[in-house]
Amino acid sequence: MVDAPGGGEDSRRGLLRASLAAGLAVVGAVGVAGCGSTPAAKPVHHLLPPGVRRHDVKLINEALALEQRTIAAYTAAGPLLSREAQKVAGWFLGQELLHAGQLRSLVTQLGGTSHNPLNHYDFGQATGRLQLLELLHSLEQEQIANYLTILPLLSSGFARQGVAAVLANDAQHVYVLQAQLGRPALPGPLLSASE
Amino acid sequence: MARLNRRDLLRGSLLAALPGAGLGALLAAPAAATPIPDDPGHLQRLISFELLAVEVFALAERSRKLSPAARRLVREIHRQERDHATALERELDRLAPGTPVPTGPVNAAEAEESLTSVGIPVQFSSLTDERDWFHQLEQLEERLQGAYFGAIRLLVDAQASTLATQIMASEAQHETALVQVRHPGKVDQAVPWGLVEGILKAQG
Repeated sequence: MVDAPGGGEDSRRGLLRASLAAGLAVVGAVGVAGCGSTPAAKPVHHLLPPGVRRHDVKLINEALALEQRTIAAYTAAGPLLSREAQKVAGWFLGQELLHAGQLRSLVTQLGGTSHNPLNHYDFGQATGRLQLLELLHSLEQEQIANYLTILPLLSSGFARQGVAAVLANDAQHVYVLQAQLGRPALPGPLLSASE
Repeated sequence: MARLNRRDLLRGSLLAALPGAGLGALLAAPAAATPIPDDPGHLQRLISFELLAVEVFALAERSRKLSPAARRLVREIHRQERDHATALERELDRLAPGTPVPTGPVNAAEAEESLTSVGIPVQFSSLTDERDWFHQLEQLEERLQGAYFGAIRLLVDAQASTLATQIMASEAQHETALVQVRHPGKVDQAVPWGLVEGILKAQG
């Protein structure tokens, strides 16, 4: 393990807290801005019965909550990673923000109210760069597992398509993070919850 | 399962049984304003596309233009494309037992013809090095992603739609892996889009 620049655990935790606070402010702002930038902007969901729409909103909001947690993790962990991994994390953070915008947009189109990020996320005590990468990797995996669970339950093909675009990008993240962790093997032919 | 000849699909001789068949039609299908449920037809088109990928990756593997590491990656992706086709064939059989299964191109000329129909005009004999080959393979992966992205919205059966999503994610990983060989360390090129939609329309 390699400590973050600046020294011991206290300074690391301080930095994590500070980064997280800053990141959440960004998440709030960009999450709203992202709503208008997504391709899923056709008002087709009003054709679905209200009960069905509510069901889809609930599922997508659960996914949004996970995205918001992952955004917080990238924001907090990014500055503590190696220079190369920082570049990766920064790039992926931007894409996770886009995912949140995509999901917010879907929720809005379904007539629902989108989930807001929490004020605080507990990521445990990551003590080194590798552990932080493992944390990001596991959060991405958790998102993929959730998407694979909700996809067959979503009523609208339009919503499934929007979610699939996010899921496939998270799968790319997992592949790159695995390489950063020294495990560069290509995952199996069918994306599963463990990838 | 009965198999459709690739040329039958491409030339439209079975249009009555398989509306909109053929890879060119596959790319156009998602634009339909009011999609008619036709899950077996969508699966047939995806199988057809996967079989094209199987042949192209096989040609790349045999090309003698790749470094050992690149050939290992291409071999692995080749195997996965075959697995995708098999999974789709199983799904087709579950949804509509006895439905004809398309066959893929069996040589370079047929593969070139099919690639041209999806907007990748290429002559394999003109690919002189690994870079050329990988460029073609990356384009193919983008078209595959586009085909799945379009199909996911149209597939009515939840299991078939989920399978299509799993495969689209795999294709996205393939593209990332291929780009990383040409551009190591360039994450913005290996994972360029935050929303993976592939390429739906032929270019150029």
